[in-house]
Amino acid sequence: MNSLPFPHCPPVEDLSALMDGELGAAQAEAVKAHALGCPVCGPLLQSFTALRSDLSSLRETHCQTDLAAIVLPQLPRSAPRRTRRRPLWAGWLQFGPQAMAGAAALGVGAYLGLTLVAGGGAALRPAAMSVFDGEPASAYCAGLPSCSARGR
Amino acid sequence: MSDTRRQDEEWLALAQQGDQAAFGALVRRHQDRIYRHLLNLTGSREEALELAQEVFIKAWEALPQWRPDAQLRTWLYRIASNAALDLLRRRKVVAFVPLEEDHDQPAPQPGPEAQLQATQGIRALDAALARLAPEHREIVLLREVEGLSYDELAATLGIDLGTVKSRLARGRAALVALYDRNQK
Repeated sequence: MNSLPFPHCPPVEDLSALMDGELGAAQAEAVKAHALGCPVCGPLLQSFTALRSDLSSLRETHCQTDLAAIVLPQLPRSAPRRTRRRPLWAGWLQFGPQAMAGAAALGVGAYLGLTLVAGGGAALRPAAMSVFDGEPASAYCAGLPSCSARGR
Repeated sequence: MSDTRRQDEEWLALAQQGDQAAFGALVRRHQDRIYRHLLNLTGSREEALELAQEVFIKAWEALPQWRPDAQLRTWLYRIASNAALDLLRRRKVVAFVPLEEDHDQPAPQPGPEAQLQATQGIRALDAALARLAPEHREIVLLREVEGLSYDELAATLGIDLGTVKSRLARGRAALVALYDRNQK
């Protein structure tokens, strides 16, 4: 969009900046001289000038309402206070004790679970359970002989 | 530093300590330009009035963060532009409706023919502005109507000077194309 159709045309940005007096003196002269003889840049510069003139009519608008009279009653009585942005982690601090307890519970749970899965569960079994270890469960069945492995 | 800016800063210092009368003076000084900018961006008097109140309330709330190196005028334009663009996004419209008939306009030129031409010209301009992309509308209005310099545009819009130059050129070229089409 910056280059106009003719090979020696300046970018449209330069025509626009020329309008605003934002080009250096030498560059402004060069762009002006070009626009005078160019069938594209000349009319475009004129259009920019006409647009400025037409837009200036919008400057006449005034607010007919006293905004201060509406805004001031909506303000708190006290002076505005500086609100500091807290880092994201700061919000979690208020849950400190609960968070610690929760984390500890999760940690113990995870440890116990891993111990069982890894086969170290025997170490955690209550000593009273060890009396059953020597015999298969069917050996203690008081029911029909068919229930027992010996009866087969 | 201009007298106006010095006075603004004095009022600002008082307002920061909770002086609402000083803040009221600031509101009265800047309300025309903020309302006008919002009206030109949104095309609605009611919404411009509502947003203007919102802008000054936000400004009050943000007073503690105010830095003296920033200009109050550009700071308010920034709050206003953000509020208007938020509204346009909520509305989900790129183009706004033409201004109401009783919209404040300059005094008509003498003679019915001249008056008719002026009215038609204003309508064509409003219609062209309504079709312009919001970011182009914003920068063209801030430059041509509010008279902000390139540095002030950069500060208001939070963009660098190179972007100011290119966005303004694109906005002007787009508006010229739309305006010419509306006038034909």
